[in-house]
Amino acid sequence: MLEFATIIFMVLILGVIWGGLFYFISRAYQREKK
Amino acid sequence: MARLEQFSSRWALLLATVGMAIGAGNIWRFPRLAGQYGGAFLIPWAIFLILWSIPLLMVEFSLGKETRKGPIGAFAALLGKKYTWMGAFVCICTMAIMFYYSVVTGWALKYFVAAAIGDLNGINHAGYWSAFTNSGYQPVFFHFLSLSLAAAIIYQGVAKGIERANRLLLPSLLVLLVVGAVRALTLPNAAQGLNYLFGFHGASLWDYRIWLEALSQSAWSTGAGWGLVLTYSVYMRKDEDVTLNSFITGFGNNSASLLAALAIIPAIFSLSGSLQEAEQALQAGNQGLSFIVIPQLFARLPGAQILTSVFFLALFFAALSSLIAMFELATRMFMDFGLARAKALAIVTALTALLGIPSAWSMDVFNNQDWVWGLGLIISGGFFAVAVIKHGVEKFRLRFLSPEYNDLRVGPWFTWIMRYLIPIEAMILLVWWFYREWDAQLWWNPFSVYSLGTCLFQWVLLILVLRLLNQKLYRWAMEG
Repeated sequence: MLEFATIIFMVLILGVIWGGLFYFISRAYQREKK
Repeated sequence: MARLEQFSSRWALLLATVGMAIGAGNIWRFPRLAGQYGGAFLIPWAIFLILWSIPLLMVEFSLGKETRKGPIGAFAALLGKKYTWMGAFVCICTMAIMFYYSVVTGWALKYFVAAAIGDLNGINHAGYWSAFTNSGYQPVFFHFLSLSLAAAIIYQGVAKGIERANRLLLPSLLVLLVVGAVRALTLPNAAQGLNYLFGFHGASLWDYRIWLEALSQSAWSTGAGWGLVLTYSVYMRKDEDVTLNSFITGFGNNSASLLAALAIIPAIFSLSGSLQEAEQALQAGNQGLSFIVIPQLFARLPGAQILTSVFFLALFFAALSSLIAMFELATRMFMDFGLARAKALAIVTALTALLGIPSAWSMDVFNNQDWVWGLGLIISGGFFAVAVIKHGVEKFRLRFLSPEYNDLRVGPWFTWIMRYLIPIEAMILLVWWFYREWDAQLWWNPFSVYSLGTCLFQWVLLILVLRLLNQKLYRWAMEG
């Protein structure tokens, strides 16, 4: 069973790393589109 | 002089740099550390992405794009004749890694083939690994096979070789990792692995080892300070952004590491008979975990042959995409000296074939080279910082990182990190690794596998030779 603290920390880390990657790629995409 | 080739687009360059960064370390080292130290490890690991990897990636992207030369020429162009040998150290250090990395790529290829044809079914995995690595001729054969593949790709050049290969390798690797993660996360008790991987215990952050392991992982995994991104950025378009590319490369590498951990840690915890067995598996070392423990655990599942093949194919793709970057670095070095690509590549291929044999033949040689040149990379990273400091950090930032066409502006934080933090991090890391492997009897012995003596012997010898050749290296690199 997943612990609550695990879920929070997982969302935080995946959010920062995967979210960060998504953010930077979308900025690059916007720039390339221009 | 022949016109320089270019990547066809920004995405092609980024596929190549992210493919370079994602290597065997993401699959066999990161999940092991993340599982061993738990969630607390992930915090310093994310912090050092910003405090080590990304600033060095920015330096590499800038130097390659500005000078249009490999590391030797780039150091010579930035700092003049006196410091050319530092660029050569970066080059030779990465080439020394290439010699045994081709052996690692060969191991992954061998195990993929063995898994796919069912050779790994119902066997004693520790015995199989030991018989394979001690056979001598088998690792040498697969080393030749993998370096031939890398050479064939590099022979085609930037657009037709590196670009096409990465268009295939990187997306395929990500698909394989996603397949592995989905399978692992749907196993019974997978949650136990997740509780281990993302279980955060604040007190662990007081353990200095977590910080040093995280910094080591950042130094080795993202390819920052290896000279590889510098080499690829020789072929980037002139008006392209440096900072955003560095962030995408760094975050792309770490994203793949997390995906690999999601594929491996839950599977280990689910398939191990007990918590102790799972913890023991994580202590098995990089090679033990990948080539003994994982096939052993996967064998307990229905469809083990497919899952094991997927794992080793992913490992092979990850290693190959990094190996081709190393081949390009070495080839670029000889091209900067005035040779045509085919001739330069022939020399690199022959050197790799020959100098990789000792590591393929003997695990002691392999481990020694991994120890010496793995730590050498920290010196390489330090040399990049020294180059920027000598040039003037503020001058570097304003000249290379804040021009009109950069999408992300880099603030004075870069100056602070480059001037103080990276040199301090490099020194602390070196001291800690020597302290960790300290042996009161053998520390001085240049022929011991892991010793301060063997590192100093090989580094000092290399630096002496490079300093003697400094004038020539400068002339070769600048006048080609």
